[in-house]
Amino acid sequence: MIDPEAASTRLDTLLARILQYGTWLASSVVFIGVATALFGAHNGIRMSQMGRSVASCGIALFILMPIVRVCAMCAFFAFARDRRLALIAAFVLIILAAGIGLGRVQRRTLR
Amino acid sequence: MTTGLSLWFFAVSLVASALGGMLGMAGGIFIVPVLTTFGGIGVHEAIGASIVSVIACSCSSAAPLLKRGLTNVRLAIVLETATTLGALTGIVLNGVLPVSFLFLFFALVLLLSAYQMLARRTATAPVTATNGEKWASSLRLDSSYRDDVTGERVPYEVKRLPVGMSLMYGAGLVSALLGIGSGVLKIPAMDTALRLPFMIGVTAAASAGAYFVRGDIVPAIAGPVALGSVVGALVGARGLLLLSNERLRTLFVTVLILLASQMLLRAFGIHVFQRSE
Repeated sequence: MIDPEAASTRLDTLLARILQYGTWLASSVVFIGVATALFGAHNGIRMSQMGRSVASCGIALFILMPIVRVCAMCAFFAFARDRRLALIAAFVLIILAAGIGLGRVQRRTLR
Repeated sequence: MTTGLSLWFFAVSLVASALGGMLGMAGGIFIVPVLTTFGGIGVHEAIGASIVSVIACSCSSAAPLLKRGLTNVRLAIVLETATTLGALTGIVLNGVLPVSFLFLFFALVLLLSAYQMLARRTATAPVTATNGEKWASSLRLDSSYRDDVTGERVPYEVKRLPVGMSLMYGAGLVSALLGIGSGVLKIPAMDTALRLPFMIGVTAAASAGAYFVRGDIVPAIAGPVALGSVVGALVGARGLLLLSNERLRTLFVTVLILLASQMLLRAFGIHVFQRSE
């Protein structure tokens, strides 16, 4: 039998690491992108566009971070045989995917 | 994309997130009004940048809370079903509602937030309940937190879960519609007494994902804003120890009322601060 308090601490530590390292990674990529775009603004359009693309990747990493957190929770609950919480986490992931799908539909219909 | 403009986005976001961080919330509520009023940015682009800021803020400030065991992730994931469903509704409405309505609704939320901030002076612990306990206990949502003063663990029970879920649906909807953190609409006592940073960016991620693929998140704006938010959240967490709660609340309420009046004017098509290009 897994001690619930120990399991909870393990999960908290795992999530804290995901958020901490994720924030550093995403911030670094955005910083490199913005710096490149600003440098490129004085030194060529291609470099500026490349910088924007890198910054865009960093922003995508920020958006992915909470989604990765929910994935980790889903896996953790499934591993701990906490079936109901694992299903709830999976349901949240489906809603998050639906949000992205909705954005794609709106891109086609609203613009 | 110019250095001056990028620095301005960075600075706005840093100050907003630091101020929000001192009060335990993301700075999105300040970012949209400032970007639209003083930056001449379109409301949808401002909302896109703000929602990224909310994620950056909450992710960078949540790690220390998780490490100290001040969160309840089981309760978080249950409530996130409601906030993310609310966010889906908010995404749909954001795409179809007229811009003037967004400004008007934003002004109302700013005023509500100012009122909540004043009401917090009398807020007490939230343990009153009727039903819904069965759900909470079967999902083992009850937990405990460590009291900073006594150092002892204080157990608490989760009550009125269905009511909480309904409120969270509304909070998720408003968060996605206006690009603000859902902390603004959380029950203040729950927020302050139980320290449950429910969302840790998940509600915002639901709408941010949609706005990203929709093209509303402009890297030239959202990039510096995200960086400013990370730094601001760190500054805010330290500032919490320096400023008294009373002074902070007065400052917060004053800023909220000023921004609300600006947003109200924009709702009726009046531009007090027209940015010259």
